[in-house]
Amino acid sequence: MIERNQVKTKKYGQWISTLFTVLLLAVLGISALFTILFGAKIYENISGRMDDNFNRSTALSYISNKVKQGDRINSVEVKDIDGISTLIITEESESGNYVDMIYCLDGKLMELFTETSNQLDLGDGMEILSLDKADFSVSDKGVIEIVVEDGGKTGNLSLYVRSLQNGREVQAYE
Amino acid sequence: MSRSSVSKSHMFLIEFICVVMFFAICASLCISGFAKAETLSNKGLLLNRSVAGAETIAEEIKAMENPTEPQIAGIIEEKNGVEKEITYRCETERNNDILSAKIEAYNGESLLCRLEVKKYISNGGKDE
Repeated sequence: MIERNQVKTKKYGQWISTLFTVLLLAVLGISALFTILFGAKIYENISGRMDDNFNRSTALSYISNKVKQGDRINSVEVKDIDGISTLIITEESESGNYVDMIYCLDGKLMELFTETSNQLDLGDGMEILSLDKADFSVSDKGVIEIVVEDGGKTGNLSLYVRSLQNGREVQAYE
Repeated sequence: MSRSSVSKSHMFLIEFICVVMFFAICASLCISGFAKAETLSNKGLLLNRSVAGAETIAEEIKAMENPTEPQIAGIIEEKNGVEKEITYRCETERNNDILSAKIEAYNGESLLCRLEVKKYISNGGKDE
């Protein structure tokens, strides 16, 4: 009788031990799964945010650098060419007069750098990056406002261009 | 069932508990790493936006002929009205013909970026 009880208790103990091991294994599996899912979600968030931000901030930095680089008297202007808002930076050098046009066409930020005498149109420009929209405007104070839109989000930057003579007289130093 | 079989099963259980504990430590480290990465990425995005915003304010101050404090406050207010997570503050100081403005961008109470702009004002800002 006592032996029978001992065998029963041992079997019960073994069963509990197996159950506990299986439970632990399940906990390990579920934790691993959640850790992977959590990591994947975070990666997705970060990657999405970077992609979201990259085009807008790169476009703004690129245009800003171009404007600052070409900020000479009467060299920066904003025009609407065929209904497309275009930033025009002209450059005079010994080898000739050049014009650099930055605009957004068919979901791409484009740049057309050519001699002034060339009859190239906006479609001939070089693609810089994907961008839904780019708008340029000039205030009467001589501030160029750049508004870019990509993926439904907008980014904007204002630049005070010393070469614009719209609002104020620009003093030329010899 | 022999004694050695029970002891083996106990040993396996202890080993398994050790594995789970090791995994738990690794997982907690990973999760804290992930959370830190998320915070950093968010901070980076806010920093980018705040730098562009502060630069815009600085350029607008530079574009004014004789910037006054209420005018600068107007620019800041306008900018704060557009941004949701970023708040801009500006302190101005006038030293003879030089106006210096310290533009700061905050997310809540944490400082994101600080930009200082100086502008020469002809006639010390007095109307002729």
